[in-house]
Amino acid sequence: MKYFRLCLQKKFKAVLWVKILCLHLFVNAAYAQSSNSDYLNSLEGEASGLELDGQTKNLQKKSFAAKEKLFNGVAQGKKGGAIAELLPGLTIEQLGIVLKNNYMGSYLFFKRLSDSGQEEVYQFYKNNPDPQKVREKILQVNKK
Amino acid sequence: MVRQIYLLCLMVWVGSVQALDVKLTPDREFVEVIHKNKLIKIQRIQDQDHVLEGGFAKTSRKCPPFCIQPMDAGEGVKTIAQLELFDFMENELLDGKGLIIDARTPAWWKRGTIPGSVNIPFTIFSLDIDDPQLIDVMKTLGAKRRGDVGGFSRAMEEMGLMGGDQKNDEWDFTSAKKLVLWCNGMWCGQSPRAIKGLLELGYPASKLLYYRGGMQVWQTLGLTVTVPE
Repeated sequence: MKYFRLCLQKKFKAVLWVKILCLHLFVNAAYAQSSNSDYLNSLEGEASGLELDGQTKNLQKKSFAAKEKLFNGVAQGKKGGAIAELLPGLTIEQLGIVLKNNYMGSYLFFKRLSDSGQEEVYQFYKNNPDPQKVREKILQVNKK
Repeated sequence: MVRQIYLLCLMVWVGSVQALDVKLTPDREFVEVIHKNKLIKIQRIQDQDHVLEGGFAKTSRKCPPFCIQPMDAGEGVKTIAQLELFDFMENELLDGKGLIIDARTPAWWKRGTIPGSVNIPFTIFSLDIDDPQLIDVMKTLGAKRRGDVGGFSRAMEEMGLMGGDQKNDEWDFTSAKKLVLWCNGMWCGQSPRAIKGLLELGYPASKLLYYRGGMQVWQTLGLTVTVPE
């Protein structure tokens, strides 16, 4: 009888410990979730009232305007950059260097093309060593 | 002769008018980056009397959660400043070997970001490993999900062989891109959380950079910000 009561007590204690453990896990998970959502709520609150500095906004417009000018120039075939013609017979690497030194914008797009895209531009340059046409070709391949 | 001197003076004057007074460094006026297929010139506000206004002029926010962050965001993760970020833009980003991550929530991103950045909120990196959103992002970063790896191969990798330092049970980071993560600045915990999440996923610390100055310092220096369309 005494042995039976001892077993029952032990079982009760074990069940109690499991219950405490479950409660602890639940509270921890709930706390973590609520503190995460509190953090996200604070972030949203701060962001909602955020105003950009006036001059920063203007500078942003100017940087876009400069970009528009650059690409409109290309589209209209205006002359730009430091050189009027590309020497024929450049390697693909040399073409990259010439673009970098004279047409930074076109160079950035050229560098971003895949190997096959760069090769397509290079083959085009071999037949048309005209900087404006090459720059237009870079934009055209970039849009593909 | 006199005419030539006039011409020379005129050229010097025109040159000085065109040059920016507020440069990035003595020999660098601007940096160009491609942001969403558009070319953006990053330069500084030229008005030398300008004082910062708006949200990033604010000095105090409740802490927690907006507490001052430590210099290091994780073991082995290098902390960088603006000049290193410019170099990153002109090299790794341009070559497609790196990404600049605005780790803030979309609400912040929409109000302006550093040109050349992509928005991957820090919350993504704490998603379940099988979450499609996380898998997509990891793919963008160049990490490959691994299938079943043989016990022998894994043991070799754990010994540091077979490129083991770039792999774990779940991911292969061999072709993973170098990342710069940033958020609002020294008081912002969003990018440190993203870095912690990436390190927990096994992303190599050597491929992570933390731009601690973030948007706060970026704007303090009057650098170009772009507002996503």
